[in-house]
Amino acid sequence: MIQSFIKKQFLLFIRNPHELLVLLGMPFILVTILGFALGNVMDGDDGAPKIHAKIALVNEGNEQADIQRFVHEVESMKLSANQKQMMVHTAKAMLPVTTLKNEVLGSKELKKYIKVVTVQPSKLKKVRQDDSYAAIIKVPNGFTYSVLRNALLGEQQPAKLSFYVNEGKEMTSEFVEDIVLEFQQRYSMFSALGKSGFINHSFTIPDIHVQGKVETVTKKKPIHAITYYMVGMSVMFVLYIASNVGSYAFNEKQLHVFDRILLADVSKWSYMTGIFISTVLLAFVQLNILYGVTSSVYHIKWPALFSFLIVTLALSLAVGGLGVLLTALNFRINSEQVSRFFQSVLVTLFSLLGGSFFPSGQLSDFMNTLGNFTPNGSSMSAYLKLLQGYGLTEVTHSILYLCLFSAAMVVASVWAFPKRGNLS
Amino acid sequence: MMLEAVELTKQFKQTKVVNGVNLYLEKGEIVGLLGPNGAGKSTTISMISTLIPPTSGDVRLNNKSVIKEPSKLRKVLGVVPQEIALYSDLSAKENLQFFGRIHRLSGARLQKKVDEILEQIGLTDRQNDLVKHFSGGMKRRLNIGVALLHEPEFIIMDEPTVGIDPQSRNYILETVKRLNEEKQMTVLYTSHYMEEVEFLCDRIYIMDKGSIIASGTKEEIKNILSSENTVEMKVEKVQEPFIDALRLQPVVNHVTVQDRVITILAPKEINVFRLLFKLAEETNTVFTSVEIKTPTLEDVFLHLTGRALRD
Ligand SMILES: Nc1ncnc2c1ncn2[C@@H]1O[C@H](COP(=O)(O)OP(=O)(O)O)[C@@H](O)[C@H]1O
Ligand SMILES: [Mg+2]
Repeated sequence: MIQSFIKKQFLLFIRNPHELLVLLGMPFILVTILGFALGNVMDGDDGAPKIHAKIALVNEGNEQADIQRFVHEVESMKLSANQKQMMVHTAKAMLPVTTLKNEVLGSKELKKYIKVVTVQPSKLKKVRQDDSYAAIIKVPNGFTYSVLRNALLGEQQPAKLSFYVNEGKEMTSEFVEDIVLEFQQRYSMFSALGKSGFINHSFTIPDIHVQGKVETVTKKKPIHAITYYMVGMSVMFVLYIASNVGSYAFNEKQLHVFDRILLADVSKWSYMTGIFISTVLLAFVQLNILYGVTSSVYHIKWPALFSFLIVTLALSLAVGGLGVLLTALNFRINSEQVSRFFQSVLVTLFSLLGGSFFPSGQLSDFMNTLGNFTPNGSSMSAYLKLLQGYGLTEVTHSILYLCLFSAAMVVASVWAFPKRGNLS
Repeated sequence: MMLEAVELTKQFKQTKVVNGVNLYLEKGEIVGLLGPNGAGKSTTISMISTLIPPTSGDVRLNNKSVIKEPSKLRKVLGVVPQEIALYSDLSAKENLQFFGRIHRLSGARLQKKVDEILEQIGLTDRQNDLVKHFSGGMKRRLNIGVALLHEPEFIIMDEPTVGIDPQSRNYILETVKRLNEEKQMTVLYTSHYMEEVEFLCDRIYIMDKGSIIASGTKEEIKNILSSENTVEMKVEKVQEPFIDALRLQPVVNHVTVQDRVITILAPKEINVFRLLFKLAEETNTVFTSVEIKTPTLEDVFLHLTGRALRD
């Protein structure tokens, strides 16, 4: 029974080339136009990650003075000459602040993404108010000294680097924080080595795998305009499935085909179930075609296919909910107006809020929240996250929201669907 | 098997569109429901077929009310709606298959039934064409075919021949006759064409302004007119003074003029010819023919309502 409704609905869509063009051709064309037109605005050179962060390095200490102080203390210790020499040698070679500045943050790999600006301690306050910095690393007074004591003598916890992040630049600052943390850990490891007296030979600080970090961060890469619009247009045009289904259903009522369905002793619940399931399937098929074609034409890779399918299913469920609700409302007010209004006004509004045309969520927190309440906006942020390399857990809240949205629409449509007797 | 409507009434807002209609169908008969546009025929049918609930009154199948429990009736009832209730973007076959499936037919049984109906309605050759490319007559035929899928015992047809050519119309009328004769299907045939009802039906209900104004067999209904003759005059030119003079005669009822044909009703016992020739002479009217016609249902309607069945 439900199957025959679904089959019929698919046949009706396929027999309507004009609508197919709108549902499948139009978004593809728009992705191409918007993607190329706005490509230069949205991202710099092709494909390269768009992290150009400025990092402030505030050094309150004096590395050389700290080393001198440590060397001085070692000289006066009761140790063998050999050991003393080893420690002095190591201390002079360690240069943690210089290493951080030149070899870690200033490394060839990172240079592409971050720029380190050395800032006088007196300017710290000013820098903290400057929004152009993604992060500030503060080296406290006596840092080198404490690192050396900790590493070579196994004494006390080394002083910590202070790390201030600019919350607006989450991705870069997280990335830099990761690197700095690892850098600190390397030094802490010496403490263990120092304590256990393993330091018998001259050695260098182990390399920090900056390259690896860069890889993980580029995996969470910023979104190319084509990719952005692929998602934006797909989540927008899938909404038209709901209004089209609503219109088709109302047409069935107008043509008295719906009467025939009732006369065949099919309950309105079966009818609505048929509408819901066929809308979900149509949306699912449309999304897969749109993403499939656009991804292969523009060589866009989906890092997590399974997660993609889950989000797509959740979005399709939400569209299915909208489809039955529009059907119920059309039936209730006995006119196609609701579908029309949805198609002409709400889809545009939802798309603006959801960020289909431009990242409107960045305008303000309020816009962002509002956008995430729309099914397209919610799924769009999920898709973008997946494309950036985040996993399924990062998008579960979107998936849950979409399912809830779907359920709410279904409940509303059960309530809105007219009773027998008000149907004709 | 008997299906009956008891004192059916439907009120929309202030107006009673159907008012106290009593009607019954017995196994194997073809019953006509004749009335002009707006008489309330479709509303009556919607109530009988349980699509809309009556304001008051009852619909009974074998003396059991079906208003609360429409399922029993729906299993044995086929309805051909006044509108072409089909998917125009599907082919004839796909339409039959879809409606067959929602009537819980499937597999070989569905296939067989679809083929059989295509044969019955003469669309076997065009079964794969989309309905939107069909002529009016073909759509009407398919509209009927869809109602036959579940082999109903009763079939209600609401003006199944409006807007089609005479040939298709005859085909449909023959089909209805055949269904009744070969499958003993009980038919309620609604129309505002009295010729159709006269041709098909054993019993007839005449409806006007929401009420049944006459009912019975063809003969019974025509006997309403047993006291009157219908006289049809063809004239060379319709003279207004002649018409006015006719209308002023107390013995002449219901004067209608159509092109150059003037029709009147007059009591049988009066020799109306002398009067007519006298009036014609006075007003310079020249007859080309004058004849007394056997009454038609049209005349009955005219007699009962003072209006023509078709406007
Ligand atoms: N849903 C409705 N609401 C208000 N008036 C209606 C409705 N349906 C029909 N009518 C009115 O009832 C009258 C009878 O209509 P209908 O039953 O279609 O007549 P018929 O089928 O004999 O032409 C018409 O005047 C029509 O305008
Ligand atoms: Mg009607």
